Amino acid sequence: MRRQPDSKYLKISTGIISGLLSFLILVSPVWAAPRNLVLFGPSYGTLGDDYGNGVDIDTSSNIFVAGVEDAGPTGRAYRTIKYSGATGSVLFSSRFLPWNASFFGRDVAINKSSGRVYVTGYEQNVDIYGNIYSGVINALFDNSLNFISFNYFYTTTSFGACLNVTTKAEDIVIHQTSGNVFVSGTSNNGRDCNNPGNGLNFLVLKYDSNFGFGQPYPFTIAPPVLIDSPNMGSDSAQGIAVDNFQNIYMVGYTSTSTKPDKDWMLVKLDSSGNIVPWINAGVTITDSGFGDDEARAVKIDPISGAVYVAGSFQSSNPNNDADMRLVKYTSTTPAQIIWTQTWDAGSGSITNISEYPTAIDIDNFGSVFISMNLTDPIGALVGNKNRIIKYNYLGQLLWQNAQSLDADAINDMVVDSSKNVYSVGQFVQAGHSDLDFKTFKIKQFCTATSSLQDGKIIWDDNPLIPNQTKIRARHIEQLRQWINERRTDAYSGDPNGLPLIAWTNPNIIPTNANPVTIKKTHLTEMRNALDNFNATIGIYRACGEPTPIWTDPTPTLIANESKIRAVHIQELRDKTQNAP
Amino acid sequence: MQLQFSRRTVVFIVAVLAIAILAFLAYDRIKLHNLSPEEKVAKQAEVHALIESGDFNQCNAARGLNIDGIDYEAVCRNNIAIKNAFTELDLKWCDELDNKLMLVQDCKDQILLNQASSTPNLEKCNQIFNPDRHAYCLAVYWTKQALAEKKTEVCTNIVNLNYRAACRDYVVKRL
Repeated sequence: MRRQPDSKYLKISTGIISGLLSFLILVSPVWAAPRNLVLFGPSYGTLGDDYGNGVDIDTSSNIFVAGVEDAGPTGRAYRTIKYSGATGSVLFSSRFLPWNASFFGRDVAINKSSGRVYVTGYEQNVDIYGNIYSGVINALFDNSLNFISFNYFYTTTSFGACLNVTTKAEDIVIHQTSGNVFVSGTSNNGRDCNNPGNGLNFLVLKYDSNFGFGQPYPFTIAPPVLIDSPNMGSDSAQGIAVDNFQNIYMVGYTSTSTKPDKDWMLVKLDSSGNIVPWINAGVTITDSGFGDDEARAVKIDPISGAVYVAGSFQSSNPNNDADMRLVKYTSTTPAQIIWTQTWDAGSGSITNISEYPTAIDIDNFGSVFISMNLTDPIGALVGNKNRIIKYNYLGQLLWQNAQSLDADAINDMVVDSSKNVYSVGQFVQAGHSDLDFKTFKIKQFCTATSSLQDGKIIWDDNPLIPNQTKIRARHIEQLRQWINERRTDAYSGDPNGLPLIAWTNPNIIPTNANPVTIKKTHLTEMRNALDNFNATIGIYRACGEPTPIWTDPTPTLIANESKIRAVHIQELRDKTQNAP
Repeated sequence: MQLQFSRRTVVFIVAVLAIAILAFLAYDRIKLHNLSPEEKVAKQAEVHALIESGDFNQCNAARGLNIDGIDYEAVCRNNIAIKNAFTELDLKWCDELDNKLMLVQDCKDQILLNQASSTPNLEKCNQIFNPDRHAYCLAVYWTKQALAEKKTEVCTNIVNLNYRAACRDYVVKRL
């Protein structure tokens, strides 16, 4: 008879070893997995200062960025770059400098159907008398950045009726169904020539997909619209969004000489440019009462119709810094606030950091992403002066970028349907003193909870009733699919996620003609795929979360003896649904 | 041996040939209209290379290429012409624009304004079509004239009252 080892000592020694291993695994930095990873971050720059201001992607996930580059003595030029979404290499690059002036590229939008590239911005020049004037300049490119046409818009006050005039574009959005293009900006209305600041208004320009060519000046398909705040103040439009019906949502801020602190200004227009009720009957002004409040970005959830507005809002704390504020409104009229979230980077001894949002985007699960820049008046802020943060549709904070985004500013950001985030801004390269474009492609990991509509998976035979519901092959099949789907979302060093599990009896077909006995192996390998047991890197460990605790732990299950129970399947379902 | 065709046969052969040519052209156009997104980008990239050459003749290679309603021979020629126009500040390049995607008069207005701003020229100002640019060009001309003659009265030639006032201030400060 073969001598059996002393089971008592074996238990103790294996317990100690497995305990030590568990501890080492838990504290090891290998397992401090990031929730997001920079896949690449190309930069572009001239010898002068260059600013990346807008980013968008096409249906092939190519990345388009637009901004302003130093053009030497002739001024500044629009620079638009198309990067490969797979590698980050430059595919095409285009400079737009139609005449000697300074051209400030502000934003870019891609028509998802045609691939056309729409860039907006403004020309700024100085007249002979030393007055600065500006006008909107829009440029149309094809997907290979061949320059197709351009158009311009100056208010009637430009070039003479009023000096020091301002007409600037800030944001651009495309109604993808019709192809119509909407540009928002700020413009004089000529009311106060001697004090142009007080004459500033929100400006909206609406174009067809040809972006002006074939149309007479001002090249739009509807008359340009100027919106003045009720206080007739200085109004600056920052963000624009359009809903399915081409209603236009604009956000920005307003101030007057008698009330110089800025307040949020929100307005909704119909597709013809008429002001229509939104939060209020007309323009909505929101004031923190503590200082400058600036609405900076607006986005509409295409699924729910909810409208998100982000901006800075002066806090009431003693430092009086501005905090990021995100408000979710219903799609109803009048719109109701669903929730409001505030985010403040200040903590510890550094408390007076202000956060200024630059963009909002929403993924196909309703999660909301905000990019923002941080300012620190006393210079105490160390590290990156920007953030990208993510909320789920309920307003719960999911992550803030832990990765080092070595940009001095992030000015725009979009997300795609494959959990990638793209941003553009500018930074100072090591050894340089000037600013250059900086673009990032960031892959998110461990986002499973946010990748479910209402946070749920629809399971067959749910709930499973002990001693009543028969455990079927279908239950195993569903779990396998979801577990492998979740594994592609977890990170252990490979941007493609954790390796997929090659399941035992892969064709576990639920037919009576070809019955497959559900075995212990089927259960344990699913547990392993989730929790890291038995050398299979599991989702919970890869995402830095505590591993699940199972009823009838795996080592206690005995093949051909232990019964697979409803609770085993239910636990697997719960852990899969709630996987990080 | 000499082949002899009746008049009817000749007409028939000509008609068949004409139909074949038309069908070929139509197929070619339909094919271009039905390019896949990848094919469109590939064609656009080819045109990008033609533009990079800076040679007008190269644009002939894009003849007949129409993507989403845009004539790519015109795109090619426009890109080369507009770049040359503003680099050389020469009006002749503006005439090379297709006047649909890029407007000839806009190009000329801007070049005339650039030329007249550096060397005041009333005749060039009067060729400017855009009323705002025309008014500014005249203001620059009369302001520089007033400074040269050291007479603020010359500013009265400026119709626009804001520019007229700015002209007076400009001259007074420099007298």
